[in-house]
Amino acid sequence: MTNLEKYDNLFMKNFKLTKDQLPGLKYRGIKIWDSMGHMNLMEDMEDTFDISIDTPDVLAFSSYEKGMDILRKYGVEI
Amino acid sequence: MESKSNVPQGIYAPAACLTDPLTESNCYILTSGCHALLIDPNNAELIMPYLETHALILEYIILTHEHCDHMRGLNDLRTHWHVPVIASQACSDGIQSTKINMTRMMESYLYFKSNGKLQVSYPKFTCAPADIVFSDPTFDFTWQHHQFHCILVPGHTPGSICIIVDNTVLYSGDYFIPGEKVITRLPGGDDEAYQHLGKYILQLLPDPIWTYPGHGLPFTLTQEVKRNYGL
Repeated sequence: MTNLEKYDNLFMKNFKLTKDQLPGLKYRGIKIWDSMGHMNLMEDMEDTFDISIDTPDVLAFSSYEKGMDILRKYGVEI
Repeated sequence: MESKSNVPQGIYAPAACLTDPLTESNCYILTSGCHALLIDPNNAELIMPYLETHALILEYIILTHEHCDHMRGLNDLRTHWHVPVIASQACSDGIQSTKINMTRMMESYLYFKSNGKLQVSYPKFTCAPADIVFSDPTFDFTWQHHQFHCILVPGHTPGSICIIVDNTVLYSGDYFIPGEKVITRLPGGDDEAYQHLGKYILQLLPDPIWTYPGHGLPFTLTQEVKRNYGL
């Protein structure tokens, strides 16, 4: 499984979405991606990619696309 | 601490409630002479001076659940007092994990909960396992002639408990927090467990009963309070 597939799966699992719903998805753009949903997503990102995301980046992780930029900072090729 | 006049007559009330300024969690200090028992060691910087000023000997610590805002002071207290810690098995497991004890995301949690006002450093930490653990639905013990009845209430976390002391006082942990619904989406939370078991157990708690919650002021738990809580 590629990192992009893993990344997509985390969104789909946490927010019960299909792949075609991911592009353009934003924090608080859907009810379930609220602050608690966000923290759970971030923990899953850390576990899946074996990284520790700094709090400023947790707070900056504001969309599906922005999240990929942030993961690249931590060496995740996506 | 609440006004003494509000406390029902004849109950075994805590000597103090120490509220952590950052997370607003409550630590309750129960005393009998110079002997002390803590429920939820939220902040050692508050607790240690209280114990020293009142010349109290700390004999037990009980954890209502595994989230860090309720046990951030545990490591410091254990270093100083070598005191046995009582917790459910799941709570004991949870305090050993930065994910389940919430320290991993605590900075973000405080930021969100304060609507962006709190940007603080909250280092991750873990704790050693509890010394006295239980996996059964209930656990009873006696301390200084007072009866403690601990009841496992899964939902908020797998290790959450409520504690009834002398059949007259309830320590409810993160259940029945005034003005808040139960939260099952934080680390370790399980809405299915809450819906199928936790709610049932909370409904069976005796009422009316004077209640000390993990956050907020004490109150009388009644059938009406339970109904408003969705039970």
